[in-house]
Amino acid sequence: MKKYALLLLLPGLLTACQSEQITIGKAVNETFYVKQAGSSLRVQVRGNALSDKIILTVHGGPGGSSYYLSHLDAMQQLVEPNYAVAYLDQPMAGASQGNRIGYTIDDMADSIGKAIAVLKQRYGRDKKIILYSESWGGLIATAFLTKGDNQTSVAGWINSDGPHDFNLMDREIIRMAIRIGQEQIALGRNVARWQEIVQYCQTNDPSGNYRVSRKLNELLGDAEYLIDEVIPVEFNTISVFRSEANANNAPLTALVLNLAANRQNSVERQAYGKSFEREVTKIRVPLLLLWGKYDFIAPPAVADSLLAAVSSTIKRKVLLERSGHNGFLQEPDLYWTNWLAFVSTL
Amino acid sequence: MIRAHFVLLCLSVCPLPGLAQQRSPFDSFPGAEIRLSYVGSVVYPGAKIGLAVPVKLRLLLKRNGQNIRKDRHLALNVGFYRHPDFHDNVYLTAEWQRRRTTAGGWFTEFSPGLGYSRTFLDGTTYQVADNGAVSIQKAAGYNYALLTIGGGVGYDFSVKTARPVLTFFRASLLTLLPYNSFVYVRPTIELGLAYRVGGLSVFKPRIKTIQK
Repeated sequence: MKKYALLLLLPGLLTACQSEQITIGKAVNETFYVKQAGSSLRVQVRGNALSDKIILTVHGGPGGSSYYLSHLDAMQQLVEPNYAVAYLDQPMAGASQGNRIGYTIDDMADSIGKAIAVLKQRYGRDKKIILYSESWGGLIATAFLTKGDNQTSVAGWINSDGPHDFNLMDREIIRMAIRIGQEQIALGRNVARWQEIVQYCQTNDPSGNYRVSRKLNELLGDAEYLIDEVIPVEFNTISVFRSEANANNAPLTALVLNLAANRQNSVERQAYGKSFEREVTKIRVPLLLLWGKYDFIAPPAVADSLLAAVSSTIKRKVLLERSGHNGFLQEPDLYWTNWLAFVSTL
Repeated sequence: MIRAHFVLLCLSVCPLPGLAQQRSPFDSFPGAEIRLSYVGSVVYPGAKIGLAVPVKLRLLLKRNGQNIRKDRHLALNVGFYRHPDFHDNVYLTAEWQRRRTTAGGWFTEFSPGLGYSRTFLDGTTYQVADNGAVSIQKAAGYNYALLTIGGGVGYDFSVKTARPVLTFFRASLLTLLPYNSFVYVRPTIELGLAYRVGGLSVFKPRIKTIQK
């Protein structure tokens, strides 16, 4: 009989860590999962859970993970001591798990709503939830905020270099690349490279042509570093993944393979089937836009369009004059000062 | 974590009592093996127990006396590893093991396999109903198909002594699928012992001898 006792105990041992444990303190660090669309999304809550605000991250990608945000010194040293931060891994990203095949942008957007419901259940219904989206996360946050009455569960939105509409984004990439490219050619800077970029942008139309969209991203992804004014930063995704996977018990192979899963499932391509240019007029939540002047991935004109369209009474754009797509690293003082000031007003 | 590693390592190297000691000469059909190993999934601990049944044996008898034995085993294994904050994984595998043993007792092996995996998420898992009600899902986790491929080295004590014991080290890749619309690959290492038990051989021996 004794030999069967271990077998009987095994399921209990394996599920023992699934019992609910909630810590309310100044320096919490706990991980739980939220079911969404056949996936279980990992949420790591770190920081000051005594605060009345929870920052919910909506990471970039598609298929990135929340760990490049939790990796930032500013998040650890400036944000977490003051607020609780919920680092959410979207479906098919980070350490989220599941055996479903095929996820949509709507699945990703709905994950925000489910995460908010669970955060309020765990930490208190009176907690104010502030979305902090970055890059690809801008589209996911837009999809969430423009759906039904979702925005009533959110106290504010910080969007950092996050395009809300990919078709608009591509049009603005073309305009920006031609304008700045011609300026740079006139100044005699990186002439051959800019001529290649300008020529491609003048002769190709990304409308309904995903191949051109990919090529634009390929040509212009690092174009910010052709501009002398832009502060160069080292941001190696795999290196960050490795360091944060170890620090947060997230498997590196899952982080890397989830990036591939998004490409495999053409998630980014789905974004071109969404049109949020008009939809964003529904948005009423306080909004802060933090944008790099030389962001060729999500040009600042996209931010201008979003700022003009939303119905929020509190809305502001901070243009980072010496930044591209990674303003949080390129001009951290300006970026985080405005970030913290905005959150403190909510 | 260190304690868990230590306990599993001790388990993997302690002899199992009650198993018959049986000599298995180099040139005879080997008995079935009960294999017990510590599994390290990179830095996360686990264990595996299995039964490997010999299916085929080929002897290469060389003039210089450096004879080679090539065994084929069918192995059934149950394993698990624990990755805090991620998941615990319990898995069953069937492997086709190809082993090459030298006259000195050293062997190398390669083994592809198929299996089934059940994960248990290491964290409270919540589900949110359409009306916004939040509840906890018990025993949350997923079923996956499993592919494995591994290889390693070891020493077969029975070749030179009367002890029906083998020790081995191997590295494997576990592939779970479908995982988030794609696959999940996990490297593991194993350190283990195998005990040869003659009475468990279920296949009729097929021994082929080749003179070289």
